[in-house]
Amino acid sequence: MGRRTPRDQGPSRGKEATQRLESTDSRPIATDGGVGAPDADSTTRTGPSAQSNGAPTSEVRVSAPTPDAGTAVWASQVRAFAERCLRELSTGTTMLLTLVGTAAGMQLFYGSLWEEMSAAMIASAAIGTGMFGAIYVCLYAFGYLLAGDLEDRRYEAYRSMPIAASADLTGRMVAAGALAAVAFALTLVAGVVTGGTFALRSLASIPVVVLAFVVTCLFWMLVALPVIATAANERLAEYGVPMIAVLGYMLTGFNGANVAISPLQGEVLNYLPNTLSTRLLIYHLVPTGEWAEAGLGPPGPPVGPEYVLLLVAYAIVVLVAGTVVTNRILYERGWWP
Amino acid sequence: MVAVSCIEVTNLSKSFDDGPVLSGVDLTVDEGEVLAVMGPNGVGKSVLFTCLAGSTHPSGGDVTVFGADPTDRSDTTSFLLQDALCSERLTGRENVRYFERLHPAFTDDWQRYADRLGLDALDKRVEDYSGGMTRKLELTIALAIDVPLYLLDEPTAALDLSTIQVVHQLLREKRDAGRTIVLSSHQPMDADLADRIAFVADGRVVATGTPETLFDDVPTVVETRLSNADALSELALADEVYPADGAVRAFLPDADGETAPAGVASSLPSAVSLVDRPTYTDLFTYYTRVVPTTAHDP
Repeated sequence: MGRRTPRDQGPSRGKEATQRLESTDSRPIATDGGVGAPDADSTTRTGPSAQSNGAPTSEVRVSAPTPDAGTAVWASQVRAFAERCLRELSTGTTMLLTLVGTAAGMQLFYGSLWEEMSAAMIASAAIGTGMFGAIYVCLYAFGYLLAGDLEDRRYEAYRSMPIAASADLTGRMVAAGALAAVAFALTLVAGVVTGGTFALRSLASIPVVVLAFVVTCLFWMLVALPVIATAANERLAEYGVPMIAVLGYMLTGFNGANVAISPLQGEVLNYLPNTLSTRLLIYHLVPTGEWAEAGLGPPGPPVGPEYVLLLVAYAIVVLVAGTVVTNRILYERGWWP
Repeated sequence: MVAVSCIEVTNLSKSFDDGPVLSGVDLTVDEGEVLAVMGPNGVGKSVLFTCLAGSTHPSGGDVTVFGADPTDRSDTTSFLLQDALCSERLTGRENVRYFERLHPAFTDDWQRYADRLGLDALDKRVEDYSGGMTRKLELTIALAIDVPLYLLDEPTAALDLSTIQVVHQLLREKRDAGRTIVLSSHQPMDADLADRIAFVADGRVVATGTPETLFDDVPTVVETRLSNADALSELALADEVYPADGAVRAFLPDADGETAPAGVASSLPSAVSLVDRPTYTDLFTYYTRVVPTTAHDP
């Protein structure tokens, strides 16, 4: 039989795959994590695919797992999910532009109305709107495609394959996160166009900014996950779930970027997942010493390690919850990989 | 040579919110054979396949595939589930690319299968495919995964006759290479491919065996013109009169498939004649529509 060779620059994929099956797949990816438990891998019943002549056999072979192969397969599966999500979302140009450009468009519209507003206030509002855009993209991109897979019974096929549930989750998050980053960046550009100014508070701001953005994306994608996994409804995912972002944006005054218009007031704005990350981003990206005059307080800025730790705690909670939901509900495998 | 079983199903049951779909299913599949699971639409074939593939946990009973619970181990099986494999928003080639990255046992053989099946619109989106084209793409993907066991749910549905012949040939090649194939179908012509057939009706396996042994148990078949169908109704076993080959047919309630006794032909009503050799349509009809109602155990 023909086998892949040129692109892989090595052993044929068919043979390579067979080797993987022999060495790592007796349980490995099926139960997640890329590499199975050593006891599970100590014996592998090989079928015809592992035979040089293809003859049926009941031979039991002893083989050792190779973590590198498991990791390579896991990475390939992450890429498969991420690439497919991006391709599906980019099949319609209008849909893609709407997805990543809505927040930037809002910033351009609002910015044109804010003639008397300071540069810091405009920049803060742009970050708040940009975070809205990122959250919206995460909820839509993650939820819509996942709901489609569930409605089309694709998980029944996935469950029959040696797919790592964590690779599925990671791939979808990478794709949605990449689009969210584009939406956020476009909104910051719109903020500059409408008169806002941005600057890093210090070099130490870089990891905080990255962390705040990533945690926000993770949090909101994984908020969508249990809703989609249990409802399995593409329409709900397309129109209902993204409304969570809209509600959060409206109820917290542009995600905590304009406390004057926020129905929620006080310290809580430094603790909610959407407002904490937004206010951290503003503190580290907007050069202002007049926090209250810029419409950002009270409360004061979320300065201090406890706020970063709270963000990390949010990330851990949602990652654990997301892993459990993916493994248990989508792949029907158990509570934990 | 002693046959080694790769699938063992014992007293399998599966229920959903609206009631049981499978109950008391017993089935064994030997390594290297082609087993056709046949039955009308809606009798639980697809649910049975999802249990074999590890996609669904049974409500009761046991399923082992290569000695393991298929929900615990998923590297031995390639599962073609109708209309569930490909994304409609992607092109055929993008779908192939996706599974190429996703499944560690995916091989370059997909190109050969695509060529053999006449799948020549790989750069069109699947949403623009016909049902037959979609099935060709799904078959291309499922067969390109190099594993010991293929579970193919209705692999020939929506395909034209010449493509069905190609599919049969591809599956024979797989079998000759030592792979085991379990396919479901409600098309009698797929029985031609099978080493053994399992008939499913009313959520259970009502008969299994080689085509020869199953044919041996089919009662005498008689036929007449459509306009004379009433004449058959009076004779038909279990009142089952069915269309076949441009006529209508029925089974005579003779003893366990024995050759019709001499003189039967002369005693038949006007324009009703004996059928010399039952066809797969007769076989299919007998085991899926007559056996369940008569509780006949061949």
